Amino acid sequence: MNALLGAAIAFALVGLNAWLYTANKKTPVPEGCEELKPDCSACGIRDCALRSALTERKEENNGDN
Amino acid sequence: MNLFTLFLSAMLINNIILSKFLGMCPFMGVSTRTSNAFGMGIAVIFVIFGASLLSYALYYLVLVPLELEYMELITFILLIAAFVQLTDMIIKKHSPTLYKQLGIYLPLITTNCAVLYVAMDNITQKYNLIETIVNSIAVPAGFMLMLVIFATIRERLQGNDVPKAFAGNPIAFIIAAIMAIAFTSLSGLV
Amino acid sequence: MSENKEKKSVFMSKLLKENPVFGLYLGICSTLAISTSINNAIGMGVCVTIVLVLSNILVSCVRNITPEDIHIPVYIVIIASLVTVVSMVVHAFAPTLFSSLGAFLDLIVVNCIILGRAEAFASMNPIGPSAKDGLNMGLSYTVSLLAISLIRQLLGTGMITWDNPFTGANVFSLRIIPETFTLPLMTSQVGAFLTFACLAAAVAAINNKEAK
Repeated sequence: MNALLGAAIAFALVGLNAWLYTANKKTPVPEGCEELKPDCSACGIRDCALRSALTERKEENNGDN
Repeated sequence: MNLFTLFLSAMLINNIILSKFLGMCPFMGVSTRTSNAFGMGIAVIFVIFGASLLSYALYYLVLVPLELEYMELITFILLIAAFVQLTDMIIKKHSPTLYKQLGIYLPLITTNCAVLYVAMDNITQKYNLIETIVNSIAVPAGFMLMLVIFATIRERLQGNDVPKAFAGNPIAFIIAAIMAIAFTSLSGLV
Repeated sequence: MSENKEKKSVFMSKLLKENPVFGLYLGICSTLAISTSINNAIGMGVCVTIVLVLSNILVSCVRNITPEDIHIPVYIVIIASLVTVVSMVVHAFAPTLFSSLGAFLDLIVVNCIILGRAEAFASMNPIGPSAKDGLNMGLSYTVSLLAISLIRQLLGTGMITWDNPFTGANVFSLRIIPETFTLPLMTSQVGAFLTFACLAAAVAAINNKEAK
């Protein structure tokens, strides 16, 4: 019984995370802040959301040039 | 437990980076400039404080009455991730200046070992609410202090002649070793 | 003959360049804290490998049915459940290992290697290759951890010891450096940073030489 409650709590938290993630993606970044990026070159995770955003921006800039 | 002792030991003596080795990933990545370091430090203080209080409340109000203590790890990490998303959203909507300073570091803090460690340590050490608050502010304050010191040193090192094999991260670890020697001297204080 | 040599050099370069600890700088937190003795290194390495393989398999199983938006919390739940189970098993069957690993066993869940490989590899590849990738990464992590621990234990205590993790009894212990010449500094935090820095520099030097 308690295990089911535990699973329900885990699902609720996953749902909360999903909702907040989609809501966060939809809120626009304030003007003047689109070009900011943290310096995460020392981290080795290749597929982080920040890294892919950074490489996209780099490709865009290179495409413009 | 004496709150001042707790604060001092959490911030300086058992410093989370030099003594417990937690939070190293952003330490290596974000410490190349002092302004970045300040922003990251304030963001970490805010996230650790908020996440620790929320997880403390979750543990004692939900998990313990339902005898679900084994769910601690799963619920804490999900709560931390949700809290970071919420904070990011609130900062984006309400304060562009604050977003410029620290909003960009928030996604990096989700998988930071330090946040989960502080949240779980408050439970393991059986702190009451006041001690939790003091611990949750002292630990990230120590993190920010080390980050700023480290960034200052690394900035000064930038024009210098580092051996090629040591360039980048290895020399950063040597700097951390020297800082660790300095702070080990405090270990007999309390 | 030259084919074997080429295979070997590809394997070595993969071990060094894609080494999660020295090449990609992932999972540094637990590496530095745990590597004070060989017992800890092997214990932690085995736990991380088990979690990595199982999580890669599970993530690969669910990769097609999780919506894009919730994939990170779902992966986190999978990894956290695995770590909770592994932690309980270690607590039950190897209590000495549990007490020496401390909080770091639970902190495997935020070890960048596991979530990083889940997102980078297992979410896009079928089960077999994902499991193999998990095994490779886990073994290379264990080897790196062993390298650091060997140096630290040897210089710090002068002995190489190994205890049976299940009973805590000493299996063998070998004194190589006499006690008066040991450097207890190496088993402390300072030693961790120094050893890691020197090994990382060595790996970087080897990679630079190969790149030329």
